[in-house]
Amino acid sequence: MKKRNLKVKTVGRSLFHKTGTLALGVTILSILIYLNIFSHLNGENLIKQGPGGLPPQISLFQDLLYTPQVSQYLIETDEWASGWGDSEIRSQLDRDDILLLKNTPLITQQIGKTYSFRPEIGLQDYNEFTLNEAPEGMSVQDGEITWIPDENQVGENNIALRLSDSDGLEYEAVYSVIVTEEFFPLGTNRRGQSLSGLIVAGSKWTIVPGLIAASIAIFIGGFMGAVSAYHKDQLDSVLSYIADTTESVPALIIVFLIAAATQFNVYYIMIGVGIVLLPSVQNIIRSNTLQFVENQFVESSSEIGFKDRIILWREIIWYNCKSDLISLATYCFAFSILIEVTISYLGLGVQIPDISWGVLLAEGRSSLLREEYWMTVFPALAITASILGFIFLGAGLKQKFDPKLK
Amino acid sequence: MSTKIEIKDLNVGFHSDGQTKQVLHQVSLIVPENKKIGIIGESGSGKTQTVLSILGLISGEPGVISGKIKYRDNFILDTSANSKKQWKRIYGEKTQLLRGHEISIIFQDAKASLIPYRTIEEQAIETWKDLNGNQSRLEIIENARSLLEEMNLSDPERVLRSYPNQLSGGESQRAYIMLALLGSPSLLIADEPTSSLDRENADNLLNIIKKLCSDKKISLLLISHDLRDVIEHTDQIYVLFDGHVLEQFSPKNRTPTHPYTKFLMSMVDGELIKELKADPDSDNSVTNLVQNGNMNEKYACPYYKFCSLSRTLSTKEQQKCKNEKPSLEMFSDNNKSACWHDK
Amino acid sequence: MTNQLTSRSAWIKHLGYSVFQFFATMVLFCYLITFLPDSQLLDKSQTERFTEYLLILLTLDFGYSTLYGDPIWEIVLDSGIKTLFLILTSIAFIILFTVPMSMYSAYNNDHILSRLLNKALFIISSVPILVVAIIIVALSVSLLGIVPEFNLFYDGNNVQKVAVLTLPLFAIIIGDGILFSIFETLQDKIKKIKSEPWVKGIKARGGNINKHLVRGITESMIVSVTGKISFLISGIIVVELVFNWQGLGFILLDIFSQSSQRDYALLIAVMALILLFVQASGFIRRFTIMKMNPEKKYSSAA
Repeated sequence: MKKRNLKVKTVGRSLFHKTGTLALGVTILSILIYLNIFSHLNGENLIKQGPGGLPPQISLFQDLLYTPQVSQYLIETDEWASGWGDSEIRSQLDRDDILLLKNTPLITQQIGKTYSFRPEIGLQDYNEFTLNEAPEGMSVQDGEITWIPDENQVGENNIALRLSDSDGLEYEAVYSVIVTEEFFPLGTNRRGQSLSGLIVAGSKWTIVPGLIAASIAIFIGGFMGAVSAYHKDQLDSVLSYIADTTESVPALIIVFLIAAATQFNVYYIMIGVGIVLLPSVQNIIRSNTLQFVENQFVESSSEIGFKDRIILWREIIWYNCKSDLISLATYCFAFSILIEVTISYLGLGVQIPDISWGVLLAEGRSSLLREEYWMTVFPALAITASILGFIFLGAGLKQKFDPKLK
Repeated sequence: MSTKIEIKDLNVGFHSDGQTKQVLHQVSLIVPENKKIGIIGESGSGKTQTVLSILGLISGEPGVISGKIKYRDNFILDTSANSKKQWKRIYGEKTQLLRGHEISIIFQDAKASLIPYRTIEEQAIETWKDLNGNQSRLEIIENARSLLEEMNLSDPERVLRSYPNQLSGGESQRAYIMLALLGSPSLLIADEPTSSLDRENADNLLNIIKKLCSDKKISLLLISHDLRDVIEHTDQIYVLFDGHVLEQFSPKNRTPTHPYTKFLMSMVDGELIKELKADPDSDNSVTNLVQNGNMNEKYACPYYKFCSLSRTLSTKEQQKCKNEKPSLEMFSDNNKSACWHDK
Repeated sequence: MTNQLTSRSAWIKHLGYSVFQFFATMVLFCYLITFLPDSQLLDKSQTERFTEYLLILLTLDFGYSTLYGDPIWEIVLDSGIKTLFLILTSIAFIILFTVPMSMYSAYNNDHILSRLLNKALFIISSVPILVVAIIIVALSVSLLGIVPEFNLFYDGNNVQKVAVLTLPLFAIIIGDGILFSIFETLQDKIKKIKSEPWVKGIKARGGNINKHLVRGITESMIVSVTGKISFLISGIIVVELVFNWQGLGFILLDIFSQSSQRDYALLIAVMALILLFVQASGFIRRFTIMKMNPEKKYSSAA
């Protein structure tokens, strides 16, 4: 009895899913095309630059994923040094020993916007904190720090909170706030460039490389597959052997070879990707066409003239392999994005200063170890979304074009 | 006369898409000892489901099974079950013991029904082992070989050592029948064994089956959609239409009286339509040749909508057909026919 | 008996095919690397380079590596073992995960969980291996505090050792569609077997279908995994680089990153070993198909 309720009504559900997949794929594809055109038109102006030479920063998910660094010190007065300038001895405290600030401070701010932060002190019985070092215009009122930065304060601003507890020990918590002119939603990288701009700029490698790889794989592979099926006795074994050999070499090795041979020219590398994808296309077209080559009316086509034979061929191949070809084509696009990202990450593809998502991933690698997640996560999301978009597009189109007879 | 199989008032319905579709309605059938019984009907009339329920092999998810099925005075089914699980739990063991030992069933397309990657003798040994037999290898192979010989196979040794794809159509059929008879069953059910054969080969095959059954005292339940199969080779025929038994008659003694059966017979004699293979919903189905009343309504007599006899009846008689279901107990000499007006 | 003779000659035929393909591909590779522009080798013509590389290949005299300084045999053996470990354990992991999942999915086809499983697996599997590897590293650092580098294996404690060994495997099998494609193949195979007429025939005779099911699944598993070996190796190359395992892929990248005076002997040696793995699995694949389907020998039947 229970099991019956969980069974899905097959018809309605799957139909919805089909359109859903297709819609998702088309949406992602249109976004990519738009970004592509946008980035080509705007060129270098695309990437908004924050103040240079600053550490990377982000405002999203600050508490969740990224803990800004707050340095903690114990301040002791050096009795011997009093009278000779600096009489303070600072010793750094570990976060595990004592936590001066229980909540994390905001570390990014735009000019003209109010910065407000209410520190939660981690000491018991403390006196009210004071600002030992603070940018101009910052004030404390009722335990809350407020400040409106102006354009002269763009850059790094240090803030030091001086605390003392009931035993008379003095502590200091130091952190810095980075003030920028504009708001960078996805954060910035080491050079202060806005990550959202970088991602848009990198999108130019999503469409064109895929086009190259897909055209080579589909047209040449399709042709070879069709010829292989049609001339089964003569060329079939040779072509199948070539396909088999190409498939036996791991894809990345062919790509490495071409990358090294052409000085990392991504467009030539995409030709290599097309070659890597050739055997799959060839095999599918071959098996599809094989079923129909045996038919009488194809054999009799040798009596028809040359032009008509081409038309007949096109009809058979196109009609039967349509759905497979379309899903293979979109897979070619997805695969080329994947290869481009991988080789750019490894340094064999798009070279700095040119931007691509793989380059962003490579730059973000060392930052990962410092919990600076955004330089990796956002490009990774963009990559995954694009690849999935193409795959969904392929799946949706395939079901649409499927000859219903099948 | 003792009976081999007795089916009484069997109802089977299937669940699909939240609805229950009833496939068999009050089907009753008796296979007496050493007799050959035929079931005839179009595709979808429920013939296969009837015999599958004997062996507990119903495919899909049945929703309702009720009625009584007895094998040699032992009940295989005598209460209703609401799900396959329930039924399997109560009667699964019994039917499992019967399969192969007492009752064997062969389906159409013998070649596809043989294990493709084992030789025939390996399949025979495997079949015997699964039946928990304890004969030695040589004995089993000897058994198989003699069975094949009885079916007029000239070189059974070669057939035994071959894989199914090396055998011709006739050889694979005989091999398939041999595997079914290895366990010495006392009832053989043949579900449309002649579907893909032409008339001559069909007759050959049925003659082989008949001979084997007579020699070994095996009862036969033969299902077909071709009336000629059952007329020549069986002692009694049940006519199934849309899950209902419409007539039960003996081909040697009486001519049938039910309008449906008569219609089928006219097809055979006149050779208008050679086989009743078509799907009842398609345009080729014989049942679409005549149409009475409203196609979407359900009338009491299941055949009313397609019955040419009803056209010759008065309105009052037609009303009876529409409103009262004729039962099979209506006698007409030695036949049992479910029709009010065919006497 | 004729059966025995044919199977022995079939062995030889398959072996010969693998060996021939291995050498043909290696020769082609030697020719292709002569196209790599090398500023230090301008004095040598392409033919000279080609013959030089061929000689290295045929005589197996690799000598010392100009990149690392050690004998090439040692380098290749050492890294070959690491890569082989990754290959074998990732195959084991794939089997471990896909067999139960595909059996569940095939037997409970209409259940909503099975459909969800299909969809979820499809999406997860489409994520590129590079991204998965990076995510695993990130999660490992922030959640476990472990940086999964290979060298950690030597000085780490047990937990870290286990992490170093297993995390790359998860990266390899998830991603690039390997998991989903094998899962789908197995699932379809199980469904297909269950609906075959001869399976119904066995059931009708009171027989046991389980051993046939097991046989079908095993064959399907071996054939599909070995068919995807070059794809798997591509993924392993990436994973080696992200997790800092000095396997064959790592060396390959080092060689190709050089812009001149590349270590061609090492390159040929590494490529030969990789191709060896590929050809060995191809041989296993053809052999399995032959053993499991003895009737194919007689496909042109009476």
